[in-house]
Amino acid sequence: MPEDAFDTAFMRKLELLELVYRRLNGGGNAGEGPGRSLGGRAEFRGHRPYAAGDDFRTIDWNVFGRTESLFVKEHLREERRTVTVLLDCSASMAFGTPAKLTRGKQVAAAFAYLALVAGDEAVVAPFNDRLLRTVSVSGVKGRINEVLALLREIQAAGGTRPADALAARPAAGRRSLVVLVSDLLDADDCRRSIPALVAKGCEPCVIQLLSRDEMHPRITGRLRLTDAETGRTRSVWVEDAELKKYRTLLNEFIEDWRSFCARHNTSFVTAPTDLSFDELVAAYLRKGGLVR
Amino acid sequence: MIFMWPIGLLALAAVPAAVLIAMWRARRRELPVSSITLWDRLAEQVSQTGAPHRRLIDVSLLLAGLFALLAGLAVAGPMMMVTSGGTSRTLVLIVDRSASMQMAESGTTRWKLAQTEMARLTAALDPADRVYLFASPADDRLRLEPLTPAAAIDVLRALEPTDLEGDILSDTAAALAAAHSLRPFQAVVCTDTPELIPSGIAAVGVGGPAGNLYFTRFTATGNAVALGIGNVGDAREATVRLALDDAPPVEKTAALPAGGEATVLFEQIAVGQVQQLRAEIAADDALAADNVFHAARQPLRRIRVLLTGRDDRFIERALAVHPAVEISHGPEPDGAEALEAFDLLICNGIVPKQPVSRPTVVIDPPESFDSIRVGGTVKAPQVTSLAPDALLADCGLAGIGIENSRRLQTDAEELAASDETPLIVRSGPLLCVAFSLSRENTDWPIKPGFPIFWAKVIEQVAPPAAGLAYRRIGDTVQLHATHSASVLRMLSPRVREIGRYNAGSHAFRPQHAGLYELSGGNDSTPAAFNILDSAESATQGSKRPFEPGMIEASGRTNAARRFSLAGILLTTALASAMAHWFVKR
Repeated sequence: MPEDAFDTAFMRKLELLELVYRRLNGGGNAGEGPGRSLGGRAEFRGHRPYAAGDDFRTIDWNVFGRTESLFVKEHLREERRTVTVLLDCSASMAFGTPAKLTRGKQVAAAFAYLALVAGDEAVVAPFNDRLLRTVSVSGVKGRINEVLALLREIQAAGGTRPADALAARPAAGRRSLVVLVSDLLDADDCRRSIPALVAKGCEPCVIQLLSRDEMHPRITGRLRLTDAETGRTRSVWVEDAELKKYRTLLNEFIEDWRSFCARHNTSFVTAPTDLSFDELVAAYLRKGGLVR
Repeated sequence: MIFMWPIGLLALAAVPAAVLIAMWRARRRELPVSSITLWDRLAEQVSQTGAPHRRLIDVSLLLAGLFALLAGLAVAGPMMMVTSGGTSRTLVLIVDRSASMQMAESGTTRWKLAQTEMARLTAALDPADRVYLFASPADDRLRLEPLTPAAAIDVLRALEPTDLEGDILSDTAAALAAAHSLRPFQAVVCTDTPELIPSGIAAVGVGGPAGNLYFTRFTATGNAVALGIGNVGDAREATVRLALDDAPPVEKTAALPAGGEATVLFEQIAVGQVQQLRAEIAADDALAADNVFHAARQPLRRIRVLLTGRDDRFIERALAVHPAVEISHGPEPDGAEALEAFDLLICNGIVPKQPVSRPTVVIDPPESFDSIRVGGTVKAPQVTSLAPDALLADCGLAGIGIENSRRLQTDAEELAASDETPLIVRSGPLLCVAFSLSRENTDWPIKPGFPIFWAKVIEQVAPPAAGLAYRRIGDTVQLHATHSASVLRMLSPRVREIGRYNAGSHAFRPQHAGLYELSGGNDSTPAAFNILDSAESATQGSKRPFEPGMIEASGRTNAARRFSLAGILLTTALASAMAHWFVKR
C-alpha cells in the first residue's frame, strides 16, 4: 500500500466517532432477560422468590438470614456484539485516486476501532474471489493494531466473490453488524446472501466505493477496455453521447443496489473515493446513519 | 484561380496537422478498467438502438479538416478569373475610315490593307469570341452589338472609307466609353496613324509615305477664279482643269514646291452667271478624292408671303422689290400645317389666330395676342431709341412721323421705341410693329428706308443665295424639298441616287465629297462638298501590321475580371466550424 491510510490524524478522527447499532441496540431484547449467549459481564438485575429447580448458587443467603425466605439473585448478562467488516480486495479496488482499496481499508479500520471502543468484537475479513486471512479482536482498543497490521498487508488482486465471504463470514453471531465494503462491480452474487443475513438477525450494511473516473469517466475515442479482474476486453468508440449513456447506466446500477438494500432493511451508502475521510464520514457514513 | 498571397498556402499545413491530431486522438488505446460490466451494457444498448458503435467516417474529423482547408485557402487570397461571357473574349475593333484611308499604299489602298489586317485579326479569334465594331468617322449602320468573328469580317468587307476628316483619337475614346459596359474587353485600333493611339491600346498601322496634291482654297471674283493647290511630296508640276457649266474646260499648269502650296489663277472668266464649277487636279497621286473641287450657284428661291388683314399697297410694293417674293392675299389658314406653305405671314391690322411659330409680322395689332399685351393709343410718338440691330439699319426710322400707335406691354426685344411705348418689338419669329403703316398714319412708307426694312425682313426669312457656293465635307446643309418624293442625287464625281425626301427641310451631311442635287418638280437645289485643305490630304502615318501577340499580350488573363473567393471560403469555413461544434456537442 503506497500511502499510509492509518496515520495519527486518521486515528484521532476515529476518536470522534461512535458506532450506531440501529437494530441491535433496540427491539424486544432490552429488559426481557439475560442473553442466551455466554460470556460477557454479569449485571445484577434483582431478586425473586426461589423456585424449585433454581440453581442453589443463585440463592442470596444474606436475604435468607434477614427474612428467612429464599430468594435467588438475578443477573442480566450483557451479550457481546460483533462488527464484521467484509472488505473487497479484488483487483478492481486498486482503481481510483486514492484507490478504492485505500479508502476501504480506512472504513474497515474505522468500524473495527469503533467496535473495540464499544467493547464489542471486531472482525475484519478481506476477500476477493475467496475469503482471505481474517482478524478478530475484542477487549481493549489497543488491539486495533492487529487489524491495521492485517490491512496494511492486503493488496488488491483477484476477482470478486462476496457471496462466499458472506457465507463463510467469521463469528457471524446473531447480534452481528456486517459491513460490506466494495465497489459492487461484478458483485451481484452477494444479493442472495444479504437477505439471509437479515433473516439470521444480522444487520448488514453496504458501503459502495467508486472512483471519480468510474463515476464520471473522461475517456473518449477508440478504446479497448480490459477488465482488471477477468481480463476480458471490450472495444468501444466513446464520444460524449456514449459517456452520457454510461453515466445513465451507472446511476441505474447504483439505484438498483439502493432499492435492493432498502427492500432488505440494509443500509446502503455510495461514496466517491476522492473525498477526504472526513468528507466521507460527514457526507456519507453519518448521513447514512452508520456512525455519529 | 490565382492566389494573391501564395505564402498563405503554408497555412494549409494545418490540414495534415489537423488530420494527424484527429488520427492520434482516434487511435485505438488500451485502457484497463475496474470492470467492463457497464461498458458491456452500453455496447449492448448501442447495438440495440442501431446507432453505429464505431464510426468509420469521423464527421468531426472531416469538418475540422474542411475548416483547416478552407481557412488556409482563404488566407492565401484566392482569386478567380472571370471572363465575360464565359470563356470567350470581347474585342472592340475601331476602324479608321477617314479620307486618308483611301490613299494608295503598297500597290493597293490603306483601306484595303486595313480590311486585310482586320480580317487576319478576326480570323485569329475563337468562334466563341465576340467583336464589337466601331468606325471613325462613325457609321450609323454599326451598332453596339456583338458579332461573331466571321460576321465581323463580313461587316468589315461591306464598310467603305469616307471623304470625311477623322479624329481617330477622339473616336477611339468615344468607342471605349461606349463599350464601357462590355468590360472586360480588348481594344484594337486599325488606322493609318497608329502613332496617335496611346500606349496600352493595340494599334494596327496601315499608313505610309504619300505623294499627294490637293485643293487648299477657292476664290471666285467677277471674272477670275483662284485655286490653291497643296503638295505633299516632292516638287512637281500640276495641271488644273477648270470646267464651268457645260463649257469646255480650261487648263493651267503650276509648279508646286516640295511640301508647299501654289495658287492657280484663271482670269477672264465670267463667273457671274455660272451655275456649276468643277476644278480638277490632273495628277496621279495617292488620294484622288481631294483632286476635285465643286462649286454651285444656289437657285433663286421663291418666298411666299401671305398678307392678311388690311391691304396696303405700300407694303406690297416694298415686298415686290425682292424678285423671289410671291404675295398671296387672304385669311390666315387654320392649322399649322397649312401655314407651312408660306414663308412669311403678315398680319396688317389684325392679330394671328394661332400661336406664332413661323416668321410673322404683325402690324398695328388691335388686341393682345401671343406674348404681346396691347393697351391704349399713344398719340404722335417719336422714335427715341433704336436698337443696334441689322434689321433696322438704314431703314430711316429715326424722324418719321406717326399719328397714333398702340401701347405695347411686352417682354419682347425692343428694336424701336418712343418714350411712351415700344414701337417695333421682336420675339423669336414674331416681329410686331405697334403702329399702322398706312400712309394716313405715317410717312415712313414714302421714305427710302421703308423698302429696305422689308427687304431685310425677307432676307431674314430666306437668306439670299451666295454666288458660287461650296461646303467642306463634314458640314451639314439644310435641304428644302419643295415637293414630296424629291430625289437627292450625287452628280459628280459619279451619278447615283442618295435618297428620296418628302417636302420640307432635311439635314444632309454626305460621306463623300462631290456635287449633289435635290430635285423635285421644276425645282432643283445643288450642294457642293469638297475636301478642302483637309489634314486627311497630308496624312502620312506609319505601318504596323497585325500580330497575334497584340491580342494575346493582353489576352484572357488581363482581360478577365478578378473575383475574390476569400469571403466565400471564410464563410464556408465558419459554417464548417459551427457544424463541427454542433457535431461535437
